[in-house]
Amino acid sequence: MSSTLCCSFAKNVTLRSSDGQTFEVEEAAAQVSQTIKRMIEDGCTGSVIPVPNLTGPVLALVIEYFKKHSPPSDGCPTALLEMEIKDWDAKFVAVDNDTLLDLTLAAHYLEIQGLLDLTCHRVADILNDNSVEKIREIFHIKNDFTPEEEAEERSKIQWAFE
Amino acid sequence: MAAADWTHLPGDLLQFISNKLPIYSDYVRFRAVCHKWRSSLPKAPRHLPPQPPWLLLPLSASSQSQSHRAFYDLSTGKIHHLELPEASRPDLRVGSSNGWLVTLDNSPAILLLNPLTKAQINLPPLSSFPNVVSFDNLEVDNEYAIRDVSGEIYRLSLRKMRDSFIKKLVLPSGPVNNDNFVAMAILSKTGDLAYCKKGDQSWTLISDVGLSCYDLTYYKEQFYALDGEGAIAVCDVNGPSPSVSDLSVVIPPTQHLFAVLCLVNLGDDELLIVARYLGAELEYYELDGPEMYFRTDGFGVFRMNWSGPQWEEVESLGDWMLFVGKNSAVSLSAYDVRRCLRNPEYLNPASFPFYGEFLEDCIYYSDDYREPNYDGAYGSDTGIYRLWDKKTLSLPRPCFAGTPYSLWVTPNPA
Repeated sequence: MSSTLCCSFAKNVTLRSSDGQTFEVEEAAAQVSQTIKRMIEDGCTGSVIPVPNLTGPVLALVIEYFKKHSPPSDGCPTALLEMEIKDWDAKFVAVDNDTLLDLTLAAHYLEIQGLLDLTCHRVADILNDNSVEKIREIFHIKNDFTPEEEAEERSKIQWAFE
Repeated sequence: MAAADWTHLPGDLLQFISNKLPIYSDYVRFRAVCHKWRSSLPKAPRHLPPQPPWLLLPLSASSQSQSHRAFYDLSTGKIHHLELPEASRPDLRVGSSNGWLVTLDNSPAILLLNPLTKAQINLPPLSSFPNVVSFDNLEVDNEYAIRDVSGEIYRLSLRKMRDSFIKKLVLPSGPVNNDNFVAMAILSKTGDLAYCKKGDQSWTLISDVGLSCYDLTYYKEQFYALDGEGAIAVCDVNGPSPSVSDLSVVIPPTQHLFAVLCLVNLGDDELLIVARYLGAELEYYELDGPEMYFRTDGFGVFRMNWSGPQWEEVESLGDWMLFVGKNSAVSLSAYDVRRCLRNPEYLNPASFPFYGEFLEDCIYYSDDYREPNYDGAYGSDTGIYRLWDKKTLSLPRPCFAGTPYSLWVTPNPA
């Protein structure tokens, strides 16, 4: 309730994606991104803030993340709220691999530490449980080692591949 | 839209992802995916938490080939077969320290071998200890001549020398390589300390140690030696000549008859004595009649209170886990170990000893104390002991036939 109330008082900024879509978002929420925070501090607020590395659909997702993670206006987050956010995060990042990559790069570019942690953790989970061949398949990576290179590397540390 | 190209991840992002891979084998596979990923990540990772130790299984446990050694990884329940021809010969005696294997064979050579990186370091040979007067291959079964404390000469065969001259060899924590190393050894018969550094042709005895050393560890950039009563000698070999200071402290008496003492560095924060209490048991075999052997029946842990100084018994290890044996004793925080476990809540204690309840405050013990002085020991003596409630759990053994002992090796890719 309180967040809808404060909305009417909050200052908004406009973000524009690489393909020209614009999104209006609370300034406080957008400042979850250190990159955008710096731009606002440098006085870009009056006009539209360009986010040229992100397409519209990705920026829309990132803004969803902003909204969920914007600092609560009424003080400390409760434990219950933190748990709810954790659940939300887990669902948010359960996406296909293309989107996962987009979100990772977006978090990196926009310096959103929480989102970067989240996406990289998900990538690490995928890496943890799979063979090299399976990892290549999941991430559509072409094996660019020659058979000789691959055999040589494996012969040294075969145990790690078993 | 074209499929996303994961090979274009910037190097710092790949590094960031790798920081979330706490297990070395996962890191190895991550680097093996493509050229871009490999070139962005260092071969020797620096971010890994201390790795849970593996148990080096006896030679007979390696099913793959005669050039492999089998390691039991307690965090996954897997057995890793590493190709290590230098450590796979039947005539070897193998120890371990800081992730390196120490191998001695029927020659004077002392070899350090990192089983992960395959790096090797040749230490000065057994024949270069100052109390070894001569070494002659032609003197069959009496190859070494050694001077004892009173100046008398006694002789040892190749095999006896290999098995009984050095009691323990310790390397400092941190990276060890051919450009920079120091090793410290306890000599079995006298309890003397000797050390060598990079570039040394021979071992140097530390003459002014006022005690007969029983165990040795590395703690806060110094070597700490312990005698059988609890006294400590602190050896600084960082300078051009070694300096030693003795602390005459005594471990509080207990009612236990037999104890194996072990000096343990607890996270470079506390210095501990872990006293492993042994009970003597009789085992009846059909042909030979009763045989007496020792079995662990409890532990006592004592911390050094430097303001005393005195040893004080502790009731609990808190978050810490200890891995003790004669060759190496390691402490790890249960927090770090949990990071290396996959789905710890689903682990079954019967097959995965790293079960949630047996992490904090537990002592994992191997039975390499039996070797080589406990020839003919029957059965194994490995297990897990929880200090606060004295509960014991047996360590699942992945192999049984002819397993005289196994020793801890901490994977050390650095």
